[in-house]
Amino acid sequence: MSFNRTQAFELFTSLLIVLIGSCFAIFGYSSWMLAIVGGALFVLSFSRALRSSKRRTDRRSNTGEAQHAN
Amino acid sequence: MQIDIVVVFFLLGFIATFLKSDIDFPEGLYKGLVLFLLLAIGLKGGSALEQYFSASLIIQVVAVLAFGFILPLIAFPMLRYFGQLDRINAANIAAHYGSVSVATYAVAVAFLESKGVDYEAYFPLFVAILEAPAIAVGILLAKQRNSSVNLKGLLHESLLNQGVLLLFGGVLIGWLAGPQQMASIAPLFKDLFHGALGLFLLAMGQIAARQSKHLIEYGTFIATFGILMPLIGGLLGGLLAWSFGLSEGGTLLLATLGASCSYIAVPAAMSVALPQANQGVAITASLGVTFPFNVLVGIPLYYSLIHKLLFS
Repeated sequence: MSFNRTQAFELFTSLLIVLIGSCFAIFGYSSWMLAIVGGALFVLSFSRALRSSKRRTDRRSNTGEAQHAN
Repeated sequence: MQIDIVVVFFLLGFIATFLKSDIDFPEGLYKGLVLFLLLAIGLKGGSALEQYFSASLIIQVVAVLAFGFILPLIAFPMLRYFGQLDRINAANIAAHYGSVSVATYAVAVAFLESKGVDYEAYFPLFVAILEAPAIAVGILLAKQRNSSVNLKGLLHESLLNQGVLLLFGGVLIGWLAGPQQMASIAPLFKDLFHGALGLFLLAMGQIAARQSKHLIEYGTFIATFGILMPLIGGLLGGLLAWSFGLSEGGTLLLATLGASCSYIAVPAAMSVALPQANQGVAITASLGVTFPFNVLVGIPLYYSLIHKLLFS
């Protein structure tokens, strides 16, 4: 599975937000909401990245099959 | 965790629209409330300006102006490289995030007042100053290397838009009138401020819910950027306020200004200056992501960090 740079940015940033939110929350700051927002972003970004990766793989295999048939 | 009363109005508007309720908020009332809030904030700052006027304030004004130029320059490369947006749309969104939101500022003020935390009363001056630079930077970033810039139009859009004009106008009137004369208009512009803000946030909740539905259309990058950029702006604003030696409340306000993004002045100016830009993406990011984030998560978070890291 490979990501383009937009997807990599989304995944890295959302993980960073989760990490920052959780770390601050552990040390007693009101940042659980930030960690939750980051988590939601990560789930959204990851599912979109997964879908687009699957589409790419399907397209590649379809093209391969078409070439093989020709 | 106690939630601020004005934020509850925002939640009400957001949830009602999300559940497809038919609350019909009149467009004219919304526009009237924008005018009221801009003037009320400006007047409040202006009346307090005299007692704070000093050389250090002028230095702060220059630094805040520079801050307004820097923010879109941070946002632009992120939008271009990671978001893979074209130059015009990246510049348009960068201008939104370089400018400020008066409503977010008003929510931060209400938050501080509910906690009984003092802040520097001249802050509306900073709000007015931060409205304009990002528009100019955004227009310059959107221009191709060889294309010319209409300097007259650029200055007009940057300096004479509704937000800047009413805020500066309010500051000037408040400054000239002084606290004694201001007392005569206080029942309208001071006493009704929180009620009007609550009503305004009800409408904002509806708009934010409508805009957040477009997020699926524009992808998760806009949502990620809309959360990351306020964190960067808030951090820089907080550090700038700390370097000025501002109070706890003042530090929160400058952090909030750095974290906020425009959705009134900049879209109006940019739609004239860059008609080919897609205003929908920028509005969705600012109203559908960043504004709710700042109101519900950001302001309490910035305050918690500022209070515990810098002032305890």
